[in-house]
Amino acid sequence: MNLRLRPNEPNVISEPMEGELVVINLETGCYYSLNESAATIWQQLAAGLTSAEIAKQVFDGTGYNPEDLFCKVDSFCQYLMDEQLMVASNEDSNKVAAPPLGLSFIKPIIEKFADMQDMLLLDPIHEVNDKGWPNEAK
Amino acid sequence: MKTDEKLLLQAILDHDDQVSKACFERWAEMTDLDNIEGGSYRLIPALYRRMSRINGNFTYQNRMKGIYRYFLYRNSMTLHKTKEILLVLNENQIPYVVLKGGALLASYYEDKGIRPMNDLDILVDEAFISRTIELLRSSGWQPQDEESLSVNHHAGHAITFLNADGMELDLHWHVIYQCCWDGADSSYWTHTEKASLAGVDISILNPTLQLFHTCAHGLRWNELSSIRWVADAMSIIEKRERDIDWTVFLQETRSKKLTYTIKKAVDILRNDFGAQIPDSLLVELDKIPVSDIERRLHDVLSGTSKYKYVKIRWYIYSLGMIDKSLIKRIIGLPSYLQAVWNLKSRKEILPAIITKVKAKKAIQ
Repeated sequence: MNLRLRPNEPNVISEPMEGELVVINLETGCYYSLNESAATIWQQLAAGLTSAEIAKQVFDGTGYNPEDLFCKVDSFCQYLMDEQLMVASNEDSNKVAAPPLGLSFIKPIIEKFADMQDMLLLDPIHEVNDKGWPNEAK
Repeated sequence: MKTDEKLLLQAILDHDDQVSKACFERWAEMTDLDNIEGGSYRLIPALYRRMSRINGNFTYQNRMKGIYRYFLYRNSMTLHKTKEILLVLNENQIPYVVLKGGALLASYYEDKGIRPMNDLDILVDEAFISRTIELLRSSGWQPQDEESLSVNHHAGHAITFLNADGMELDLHWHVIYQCCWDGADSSYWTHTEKASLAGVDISILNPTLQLFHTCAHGLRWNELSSIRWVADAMSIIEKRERDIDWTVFLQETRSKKLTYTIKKAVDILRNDFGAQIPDSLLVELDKIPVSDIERRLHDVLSGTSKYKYVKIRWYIYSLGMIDKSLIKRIIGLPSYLQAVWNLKSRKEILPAIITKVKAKKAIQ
């Protein structure tokens, strides 16, 4: 597959911070935390690149098996669609030349927090682990 | 303002990264995040964002990041959910102005996570209050206290509504708690500007009145320290300095009889945080005579004095009747208290005073 997606705005918002991207689906109330690779894919999709272009241009030369790379980026994109965080796009207009990452490719991970009514009851100072809210202390 | 509060604000607001960093480090040394005061807690998201821009690693980093994420999520959901009621008001052509946090997030804070917002405050023209209440009810918002609906609008300044999600909406017919006399709010309707909140077209106060309201409201004593008003005021000044009309600001100060409060606010912003406020404003403020009632009302609102809630009522009532003699004010007081406390007869006034005094003692 070669997917071209865009963020499902205005129902979805995203905010980058220190090596992660926070994405919130305002309709479902679900909260997502994306690691650096996942955040990069998100940003390149938002900039107009297809999943194949991201695999080739962004992560090329990161020492990963190209077929495996395509597969990982595609399955991540499919997850974004399943969660209604991104939708199919026909627009090619915003495409920008994506520089290679220059980093080792790590598996894109998106962590989902769905039970947000309970999460909001968590005290962000005293009831969280060392990663901070919304990661609950066990 | 306490030393740690000032350091916290300087860490957020100072333009020099090195000064900001030094203030943060001093603040972190003297602060136990586990026991942080509520007013300072509400500034943590802004502090986190500032420090993450200028510092690789810093004390309390992950917990502060978590607090930022918490308010980013909560504010985003609050704004999304309030969209529906704003659309209802627009469709029904209710003239309204979004006040406080909603207005500041719409126009002054691009990052929706750095300014915690507890509720939505809207000012509605008094002629549209009944219709607005109908619309709120039919949209799933119920008054926090049914009896508050029958309060004389001249006595109170707002009532609180809640929806099924526990969200709060304050419906104002007066903007400032202290200023509830007839015509007190007419200027607010002529000093507005357009903005967008959660994708909905809204009106907010223009920068001059936004700053005035922030200062007037901020210096009131609160259960939580209200130092946030400084960050809000500095954001308004820094973002829209050229659009602030200091002559109108001065007129508002005079007409709202808030010279004493506004002078204190201006002093803090200029002297402690270097706000670009013209000298001429200070000169003109000094020329306005300050009444004893105004001074006493400010002191009782910004402190924790004995019998505070009874004193507040007397001074607010007196401020609105400042041109009347003491005898006339005393004669009119029972009617005012009956209205503001929603009492059925004058016989209930004395028990109400005793109850409020006892309630205050219980808080102390």
